[in-house]
Amino acid sequence: MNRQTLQADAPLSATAATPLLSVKDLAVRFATREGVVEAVNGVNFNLARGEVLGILGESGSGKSVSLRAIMGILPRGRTTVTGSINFDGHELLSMPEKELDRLRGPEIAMIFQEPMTALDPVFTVGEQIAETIVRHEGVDWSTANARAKNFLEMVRIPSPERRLQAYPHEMSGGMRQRAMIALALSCKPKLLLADEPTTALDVTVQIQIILLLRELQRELGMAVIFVTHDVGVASEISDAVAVMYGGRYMEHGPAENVLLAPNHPYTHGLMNSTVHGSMRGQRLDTIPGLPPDLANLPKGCPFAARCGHAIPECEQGGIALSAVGKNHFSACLRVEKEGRSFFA
Amino acid sequence: MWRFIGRRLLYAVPILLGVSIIIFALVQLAPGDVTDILIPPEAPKEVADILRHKFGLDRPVYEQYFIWLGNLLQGDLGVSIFTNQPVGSELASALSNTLMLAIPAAFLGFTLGAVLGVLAAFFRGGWLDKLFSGIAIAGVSLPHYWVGIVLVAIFAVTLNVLPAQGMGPEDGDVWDSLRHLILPVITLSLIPMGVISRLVRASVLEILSQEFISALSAKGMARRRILFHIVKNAAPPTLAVMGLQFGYLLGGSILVETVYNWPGSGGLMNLAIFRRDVPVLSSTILVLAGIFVAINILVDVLQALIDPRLRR
Ligand SMILES: Nc1ncnc2c1ncn2[C@@H]1O[C@H](COP(=O)(O)OP(=O)(O)O)[C@@H](O)[C@H]1O
Ligand SMILES: [Mg+2]
Repeated sequence: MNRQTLQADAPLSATAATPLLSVKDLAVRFATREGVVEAVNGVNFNLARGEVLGILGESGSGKSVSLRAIMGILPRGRTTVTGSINFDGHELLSMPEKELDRLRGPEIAMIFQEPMTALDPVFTVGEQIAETIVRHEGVDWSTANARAKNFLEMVRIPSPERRLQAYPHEMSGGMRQRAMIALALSCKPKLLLADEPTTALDVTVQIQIILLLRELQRELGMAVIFVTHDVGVASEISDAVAVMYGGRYMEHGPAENVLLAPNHPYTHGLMNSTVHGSMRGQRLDTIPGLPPDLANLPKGCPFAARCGHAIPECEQGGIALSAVGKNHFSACLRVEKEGRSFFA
Repeated sequence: MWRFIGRRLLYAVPILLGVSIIIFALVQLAPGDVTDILIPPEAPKEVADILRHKFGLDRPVYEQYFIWLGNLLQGDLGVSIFTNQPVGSELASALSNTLMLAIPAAFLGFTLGAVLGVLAAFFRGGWLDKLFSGIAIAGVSLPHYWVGIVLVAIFAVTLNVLPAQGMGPEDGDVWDSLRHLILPVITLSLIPMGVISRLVRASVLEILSQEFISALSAKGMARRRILFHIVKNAAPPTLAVMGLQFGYLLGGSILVETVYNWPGSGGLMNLAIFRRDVPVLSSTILVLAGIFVAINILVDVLQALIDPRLRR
């Protein structure tokens, strides 16, 4: 496979029927001293071109790990990744590192939670953007620098010429995240993976970054997987929302369905425990109990122990996502058995 | 950057002044003086007093200090009490002999240490890591002179392929001089090699655990380019330790110099101590301290050039 085939015309394959990204039975395990950590346990979803999927979930639910599995940047050796990740006709999990490097950057890009640690402290921001362009577009450094400047302009960093020479520690958190976005977009990827890109930022800056991302996403028509634990952020940017718990999708569907009419008891609990504008004045209910120990997962529904609606069968297992509406899925045994949502 | 360098140079002045006072005081504190060595104990006390007067040893200590310092500032390192030779020329010859070993030993030790350290970090926990760690620990913990003797026994005595000691004849060819360098250089490179490889291994492991390394893979950078990022990040702490190690090498090692019969700065100082040769001892130590400070300034500047966070 060479670069030509990788850059094969999108329109040919860009029919509604073929998703850009198709993830099947994705599972990730880490061998650790404490035992095997089952971080991701059978995730399935499709992502269409230009679609924005928001992944919601408490910390430790496997959101970052599933993004890193797609990117192929999990630590080697003690990590086992199984299932299938098909991106635009390429099976990523069986792809050799060298070929993967031709996709990472120009086809799939990622932005991280902490731009301070995700940028190399001893290289200027300009060098870090330009090296990506040099690598993937085969242009010389001066052309790459000029393009880097355009991208800084695009993410609205003031005086971009000067900022190219700046080191990460010389920028504010918001500026750094803008620079990180410029870097991720510098080779016009079809898919952007965003791992809580606003969590480390001040609230006002968070909103600016969200709006910027949404605008750029529309302008460039790229698909985005946006991980967050903030329901408000998810509703702001997502077309579809997946709710993750114990390394699985508990509910997955169009954003307005999942967020406004949650079907799964966990989603419902999550919504009730979130401070968010439309619910002002309402009582905040936290979900009792703790997330499951991933080194020691129960065999049934991972949420059963904390669920107010659990029945004995919930502990038995064999619970999968099932359709509860158009493109709307929920992994709840009682919803499936009784054919109704508790919260309608 | 120029201001940074200027400031570092300014800091060096009080440091060197302080060092000169300490050196002078310590040399004074040592019991006895040169007359104890030059004159037999049964000689009359007057002879010693005449000599003391001649060398200025009867003046108040602070006066002796200022005379010494004043001369130093004019580039005059004094005259050896024992040999009557200018300290400058004795030091120049000893130091150039030491440099002849120190530079290749540093080059060998640093290069080997850096390569072993990076490889050990990449293959952490594997047999390569264990092997290299073993080499590094042996390098820092085996006694120098013992390694020297063993090397001589193997390569000079048993195999008879390299000279056992000395610098070779004055008029010998270049190849012959080089052959005399091999064993002492290897011996002296062991500690720098061990120290640098442990340090590089630790800093590379620390860098590998950082997010920006994942981020570099996430933008599909080539392995070579990622290695460049790692090296640039590991360079500042490594340079600091390399500067120190090189400084130690310049001080010379009396043991290694003895094993190889190599007239370096370690031997010069050692002899000066036993002879109570105050001018040789204090000027030599001060010049070495000056070189040490200069190396550290150079390291500071290099570090700041590489890592902008250190430019303050
Ligand atoms: N490299 C790793 N080795 C072992 N466990 C890991 C590793 N990375 C993540 N985990 C574990 O996997 C689980 C999911 O982590 P993560 O995906 O980062 O959660 P989040 O949803 O907050 O992003 C956590 O329990 C975490 O401790
Ligand atoms: Mg995370």
